[in-house]
Amino acid sequence: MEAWSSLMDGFSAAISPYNLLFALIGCIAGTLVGVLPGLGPTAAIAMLLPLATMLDPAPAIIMMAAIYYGAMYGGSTTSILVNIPGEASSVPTAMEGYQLTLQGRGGPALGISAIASFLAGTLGVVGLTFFAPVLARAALAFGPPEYFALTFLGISLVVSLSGRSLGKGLLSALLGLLTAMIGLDPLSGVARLTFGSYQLMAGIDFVPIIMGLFAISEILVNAEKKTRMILEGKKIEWLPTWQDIKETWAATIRSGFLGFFFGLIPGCSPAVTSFMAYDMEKRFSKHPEKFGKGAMDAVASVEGSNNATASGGFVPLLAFGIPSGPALAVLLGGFIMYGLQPGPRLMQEQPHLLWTIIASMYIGNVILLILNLPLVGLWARMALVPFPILGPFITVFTLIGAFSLRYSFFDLWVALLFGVVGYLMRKLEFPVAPMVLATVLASMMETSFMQSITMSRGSLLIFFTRPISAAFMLLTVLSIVSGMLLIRKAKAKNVELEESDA
Amino acid sequence: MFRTRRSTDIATGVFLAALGATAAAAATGIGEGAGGQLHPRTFPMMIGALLFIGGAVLAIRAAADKSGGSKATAWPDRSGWRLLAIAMAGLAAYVALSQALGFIISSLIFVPWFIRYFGRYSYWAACSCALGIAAFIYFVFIRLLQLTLPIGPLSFLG
Repeated sequence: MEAWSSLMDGFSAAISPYNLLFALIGCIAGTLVGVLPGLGPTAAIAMLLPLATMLDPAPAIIMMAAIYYGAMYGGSTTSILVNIPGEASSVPTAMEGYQLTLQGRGGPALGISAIASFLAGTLGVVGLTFFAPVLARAALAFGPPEYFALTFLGISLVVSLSGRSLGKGLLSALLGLLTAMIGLDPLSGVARLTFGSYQLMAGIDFVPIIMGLFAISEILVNAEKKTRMILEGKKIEWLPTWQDIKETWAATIRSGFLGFFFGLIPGCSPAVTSFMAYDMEKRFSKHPEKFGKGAMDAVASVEGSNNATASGGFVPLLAFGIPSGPALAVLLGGFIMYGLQPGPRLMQEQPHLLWTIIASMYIGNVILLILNLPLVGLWARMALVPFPILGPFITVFTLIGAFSLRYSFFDLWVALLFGVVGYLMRKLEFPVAPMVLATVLASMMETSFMQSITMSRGSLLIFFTRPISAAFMLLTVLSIVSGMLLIRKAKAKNVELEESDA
Repeated sequence: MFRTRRSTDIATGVFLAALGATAAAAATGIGEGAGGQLHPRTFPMMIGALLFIGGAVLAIRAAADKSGGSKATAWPDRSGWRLLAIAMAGLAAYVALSQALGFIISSLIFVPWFIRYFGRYSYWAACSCALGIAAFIYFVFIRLLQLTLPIGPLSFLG
């Protein structure tokens, strides 16, 4: 009840016109940076920090938080419409959403994505409101062995999703891991597989890889066919139907819970959550055969989990001052700029400010829904733009997005190279998703493995003697076995397993 | 050559096995790190070895499978290969031009070329799109979002 009355106090402050205005500015800026590939909330919050210094703490932090969760809303747009996932967590959205766009259902996919983001994002804020202190403690139970087991589970799940191409999925994951090994060793700083190139010393960032595998290879495939229109059908739909909403609400709620809990874990890549949500939905779905060919429940699940993860990330930040990722680290910088140190003391000393921020997150989610739903029809019209015009726009935005991460032209060549790799993987029927996730998680996987082995003085048993880590390892074994059983079953029936691009 | 799934799987398997072997061999040259239970070469070497084994298994299984591997690989026809090569060359030229002339000028060249070559649209349509995208780069990326994008000879605008 105490949380409830504090929240009401927070609402009374958050709905003041001044605070509402900055929530709106944050939501618009967040949506904009989310839509533009490569530009993430981290850069946007960092850019607006100087502006924030002119404001009071409450509106400034409300604005920065809104940029963070607003970017999650915007991230789905280019994934669904033009197959450009701006970040790794949007990859499953691109895999399913773009197929829906080709079928003329880009509008409904965007609408479902906005609704799922709203519902799951709000669910996450409810979790933040009522369970923050309790859950934050549970999140601290995560040590290196748990992180390793989690990343191992994430990669195994994606490989097991490869259907009949399980072996190719495994090879794809190994290629991703090998790519991520290039550069400096994360613990000792020794150069590895750089072949004397100073550019390779900095490593290969995963964003140009993703952009190459998806956007550039899409350009190549369409150029080869001299495509006029990307739409496969003649019919085009603008908004989701009640049937779409009815079929996806359960996926949204499930993904809300999953996303929130994984959001609590500091440092856990949002890509793990979105791929896990995707895998979970494929197992729960009434139409698993649609996965890889345009599954609306997959879009709802992935986008819902993304937004719930964003809300969950505020729990360790507000309860202990531990940021879950780079964007929240910059937000933490925003708090510190005002002399506020998030943690238990801030909860006691500045409860009004904290509850105002939390209340503003409910309002922000409503603003984002109102802002995004009317835009759905407008965005969906992009599918009507002929490919020869859309193609160069995709190229320019993708390559500028890839460049803006490290301001390096080397990254553009990497994007082009992986465009060719993506093209070949499509032709040779290799799933792309295991490679993407492996590239993203490789560093965390290796670092946490090394730290675990140091903790246990060389014993691998550490992964099986701690309950959370052991549970993840068990799930890993189950996912691999279930993937193998699925193949045997299909072979026995002599039926072709559906082949998702996953 | 490489027309069926079987033949492409054999070729891909051999390529990946060679890549894995190269990576594992290159990993032997990785220097000693400071402390820690495991050497910095452990992961790259392990992944290289697994890739070698995986690639070999793919190639051997494809070679042994004489029944189900006749499915054709969806390679383009001769004109498709030509278009693919031109698109790739266009993209590479765009990156090279961006390095030399900055993103605005290179986009003003690349965008109309792509629209004209792949779409046969009028010069007017192609140039309007190019000007639109150049304005977007300048006003949104450079002015609004303050990205430090190279703009070559147009640096007086920055």
